[in-house]
Amino acid sequence: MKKFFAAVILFVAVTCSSFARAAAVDIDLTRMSSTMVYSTVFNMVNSPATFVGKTMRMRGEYTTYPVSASQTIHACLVRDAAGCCSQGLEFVLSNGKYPAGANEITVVGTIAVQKIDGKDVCYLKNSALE
Amino acid sequence: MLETLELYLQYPFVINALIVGVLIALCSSLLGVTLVLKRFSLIGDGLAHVAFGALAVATVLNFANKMLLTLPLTILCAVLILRGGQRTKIKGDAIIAMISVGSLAFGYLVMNLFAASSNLSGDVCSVLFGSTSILTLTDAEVWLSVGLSVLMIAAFVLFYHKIFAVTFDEDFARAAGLNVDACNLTISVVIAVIIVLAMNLVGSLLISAFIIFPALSAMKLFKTFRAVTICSAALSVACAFVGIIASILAGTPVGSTIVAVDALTFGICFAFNEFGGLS
Repeated sequence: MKKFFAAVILFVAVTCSSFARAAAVDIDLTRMSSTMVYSTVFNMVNSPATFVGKTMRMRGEYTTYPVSASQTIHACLVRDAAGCCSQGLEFVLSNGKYPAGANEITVVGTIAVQKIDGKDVCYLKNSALE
Repeated sequence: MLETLELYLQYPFVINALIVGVLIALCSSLLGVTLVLKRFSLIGDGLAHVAFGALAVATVLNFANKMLLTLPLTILCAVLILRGGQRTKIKGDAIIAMISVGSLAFGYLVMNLFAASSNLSGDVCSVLFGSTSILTLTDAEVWLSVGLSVLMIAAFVLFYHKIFAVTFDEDFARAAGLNVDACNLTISVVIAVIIVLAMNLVGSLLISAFIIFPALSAMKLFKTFRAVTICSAALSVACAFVGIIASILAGTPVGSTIVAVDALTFGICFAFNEFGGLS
């Protein structure tokens, strides 16, 4: 009986924490279909103004782009349903500890905009890996 | 599932996709009946390839709104195919095939030689199969699509009787004093506009299905031109709506999902006609 109650309490705790975590962000891409994930990121990158300031969780392929000898862009890559189009979003981790050799990552952060060559470029600031 | 759909509908690009998708479906189905009856079913396919070639050139030239180049070039080719085909020694279907494959090859070649994007295969795939194009429209593209769709629907309603006459008997229409050449020219321009619009929805390789399936499904259920046209429009709008919703819920490519729904609807209409239909 004790085991049963313990299991129920554990289940409720896990479920509640899961809901609490889901409710903690404005846009949760991990709960969307691949078509919606790609479309959301595409629209975010192309017209970032409507998304700035919102918190977002996304899951995708971790990739890096060396910009110079001292600077590297860290990005999370998502693909469309057909698998032929991909869209990446840069993220900046708060702790600065980027994963080594990771393939799929889940990252949470706040959508922000930075000016690069006079163009508004969207990225995730104050990010953390889950 | 309803909760998920409710969440997705909060995004403006999903609402835009539904509005543009339904309007394009309505336009293409209205003219689809005429095209099928005039034995012009494959002209949509040919013009879609022309539109692909024009889009490739617009992409290479970095046009902000690619429709500004794609639309006039496709209209020009539609006129060449429909009017030129009557005067030259090359038969109509051969001209369609020639311009179609020529444009497709030229478009792909141009995109390869002067690639503006690092993801060439993705761009080509997106244009050919319309994987998510309808969900990634800019505001300008949405307004242009809505404006052109409304114009096309108005033109169809206004010239309904002339389209009806030209569709069934050109000789009789000519004898009755109708300018058949002008009507055919108008139809070819309207077809070109619809093709360019529909390319955003289903991709250039799937446009023919989008035009033909609703018309053929309606023909299995009704026999008069008016009833077939109305039924075709209703089926096309319903299939586009269901297809877009299904694709965003299930995470499948939008274009092929809509065509799959169209094909399924045709199968149901066919079965209904064969085993206890209306006729």
